[in-house]
Amino acid sequence: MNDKILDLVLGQLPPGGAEAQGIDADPAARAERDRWARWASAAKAAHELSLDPAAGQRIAARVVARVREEEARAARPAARRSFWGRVLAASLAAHAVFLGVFALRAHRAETTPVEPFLLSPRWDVAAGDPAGAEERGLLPLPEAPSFDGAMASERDLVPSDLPDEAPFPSPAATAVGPHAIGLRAASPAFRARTSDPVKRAIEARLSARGSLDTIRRSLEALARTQRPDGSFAAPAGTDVSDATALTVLPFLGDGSSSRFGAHREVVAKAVAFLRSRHDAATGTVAGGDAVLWALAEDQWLAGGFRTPAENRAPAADLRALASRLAADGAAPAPDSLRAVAFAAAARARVVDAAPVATLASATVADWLAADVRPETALTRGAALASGAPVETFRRFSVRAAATLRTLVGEDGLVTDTSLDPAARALATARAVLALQVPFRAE
Amino acid sequence: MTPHDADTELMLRVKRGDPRAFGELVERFVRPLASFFHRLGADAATAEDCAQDVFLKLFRTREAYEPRAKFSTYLFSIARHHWIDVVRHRAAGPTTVSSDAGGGDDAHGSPADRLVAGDTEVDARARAGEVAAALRRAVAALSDEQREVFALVQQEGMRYQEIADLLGIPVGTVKSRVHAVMHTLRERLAREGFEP
Repeated sequence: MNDKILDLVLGQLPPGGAEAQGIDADPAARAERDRWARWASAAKAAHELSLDPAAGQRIAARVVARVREEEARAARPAARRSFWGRVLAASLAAHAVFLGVFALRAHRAETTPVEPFLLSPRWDVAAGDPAGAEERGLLPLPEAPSFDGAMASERDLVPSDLPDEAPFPSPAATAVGPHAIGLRAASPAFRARTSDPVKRAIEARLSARGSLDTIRRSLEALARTQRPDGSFAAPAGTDVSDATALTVLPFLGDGSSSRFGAHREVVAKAVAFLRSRHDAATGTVAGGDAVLWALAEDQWLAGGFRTPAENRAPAADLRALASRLAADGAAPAPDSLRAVAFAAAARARVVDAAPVATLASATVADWLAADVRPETALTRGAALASGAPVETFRRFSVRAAATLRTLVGEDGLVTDTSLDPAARALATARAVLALQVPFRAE
Repeated sequence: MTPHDADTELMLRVKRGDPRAFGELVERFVRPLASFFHRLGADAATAEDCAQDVFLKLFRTREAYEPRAKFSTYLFSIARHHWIDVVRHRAAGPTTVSSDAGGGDDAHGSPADRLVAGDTEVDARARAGEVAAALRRAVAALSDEQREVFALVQQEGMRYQEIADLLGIPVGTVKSRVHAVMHTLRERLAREGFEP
């Protein structure tokens, strides 16, 4: 009963329920109920807080204001994050654009012919305006030798409709060279040296089929004759520098240099040997026109792949040698080795173009009528290449190539077995140099 | 248990963004909440602060509110957990908050004064104040569990079942704890010479 009374007082039983009525009917229980009721009321009232009438409104206002402030504060970092997110997105987009432009430019640079800045001729061949050329920082076209007909210029010798150079299947493709660094559209002369497709085009144009194979076999044979110090054996009566220069020149004519090419090591060792020997009287590099020609060829081909500091000493050696050789002041004959050597030095920007004697039409006629001989085919072919009409050069070249190819055997050396090995190698080098005249495009 | 009572409807309006509904809820529950904290051991100022904190939590989480139980049960559940946090984080704890302070209410006539009969108004007021002070001392001497169940059962309309749900204990346990608390308080006051 006591529990029922307490539950009733605490509001856990309905006031008009059966339990309540039972308690109400019992006087003792009713009295106990009243005592518990007073207790409950006192206990409840003991902890009642009399907050001021505005307490509710005040607390509600505080709570709402504080939560609104918290929500606003929480939204601000989100806005900042949004701002930095936009900055990051813009940065990524800008980088993507730059990368795209860069990739596009790289692709176009790979596919668009680029004229090498150091390897292109300094002559203003295209413009033909000496005054304008000087203004553009180029040298005016040197005065051409007089001839009664059109000149066989470099552009005439090297076909304009050259095939695409890629792929480049020759051994040079795996070596460091102008093609490897993207100089695919060097000057026509440079391309004629270094590009197999161009060489094959020239070979076909001049009806000189087989020349390239002969040259390749001869170069392999000559490379085997190089001595450890880089020199080549000289026949009796020939200076070893001249012999070495003449023997390494076919390698240079094939497009190898001391910096690139299939026969880079052969050329590098030979050039080092040539530069290591000095004339006792003048202190300049020892040797004659062939040495000047060989060193100039290497400087022209490899100079663009060396730093200015690396080029300084070779260029100085070349200038000194050219000065020594030109000391007599006489103009070289058009069909002389000196004319070829100085033309090469001029192309290497070492010396100014040497004055060349006039190539008379009668002389050309004599050359065309005479038998082709290895010792004269080189210089006459070079003279015709630089001073004769294209058709004249073509006629000479076709005949010379056919003759010269017959002189070289399957082993790559001239077939004249009466010669000693050194003389035979040197004769082979002369024959190859003559065969290379169209490909050198002097 | 009817989840959708008037208080629940008010809270749903709060959830929908009605600030006036929140004002009504605060007005309705601020005093019971403050008294609840007072019974648990908080002094008057702390009790009001605690009540405000409970409404703060209620408003912060308004969008997550779901009417799964009676609103008062939901609200006092928040209040109970808040008091646990207060006790846990305050070095003083409930013993430092004065439940025995004869504050202005007690000195000048608390609601208890009006409930206790006396020979004269002054005598009755003095006697009621003494009874209230004795009751607060007795409540403060209860264990945490007893004080908690006492504070809840004093809330108007709070049934044993709701207290059991709120505390997570069986309803029989709630009932026995309530009876034990009431008998304990009555005996303690009887020892001090107070017999209602």
